[in-house]
Amino acid sequence: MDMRPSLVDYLKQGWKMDVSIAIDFTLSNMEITDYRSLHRMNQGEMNQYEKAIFEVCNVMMPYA
Amino acid sequence: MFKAYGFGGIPIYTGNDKVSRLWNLNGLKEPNVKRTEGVLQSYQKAIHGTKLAGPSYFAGLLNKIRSEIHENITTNGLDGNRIYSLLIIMTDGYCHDMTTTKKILVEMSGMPFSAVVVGVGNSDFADMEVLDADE
Repeated sequence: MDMRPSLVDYLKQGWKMDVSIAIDFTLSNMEITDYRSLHRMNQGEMNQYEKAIFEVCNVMMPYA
Repeated sequence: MFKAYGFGGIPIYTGNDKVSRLWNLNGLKEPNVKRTEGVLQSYQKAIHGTKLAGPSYFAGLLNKIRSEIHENITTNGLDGNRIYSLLIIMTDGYCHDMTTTKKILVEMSGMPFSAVVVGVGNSDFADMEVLDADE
């Protein structure tokens, strides 16, 4: 059994969390003008990265 | 508060003309942004001012976090340091420096640190499966 403390153990002890978000700007995501692009910019609609940021950061915000 | 970074592109809006392995998404000296809105705003600023490029290197990100942990420990002492570092990498799944990345992750395994990969899109996540050494 792994006896090393988990993230939750640290938080229970009152540790603060330092949350870094790193976003992938490599070309394998496809040019932003390409309709297949994960970074595609459509007015009034969130792209795949914006959705990921929105969901993840909202969950993390109370701790960050 | 979050720290927001970009990697693997040419962040022209920050005055850069070469591929950067890590830059502050807000284009400022410090990477700090407030709340989800701050991350989204700096992303939107970045995506319009960045040329997508590559390769997809993770070592720069990990080394940055590692040096921050060392700084925290230097400032607060090993016993006084009560900051847990969480790195959330949002990626389509490719990693072009797997050997170095694995080595650094192993070296950081004793630190108050977790790396989380958030997969975006439906491409190949085989590299990420390897990095997730649960099995």
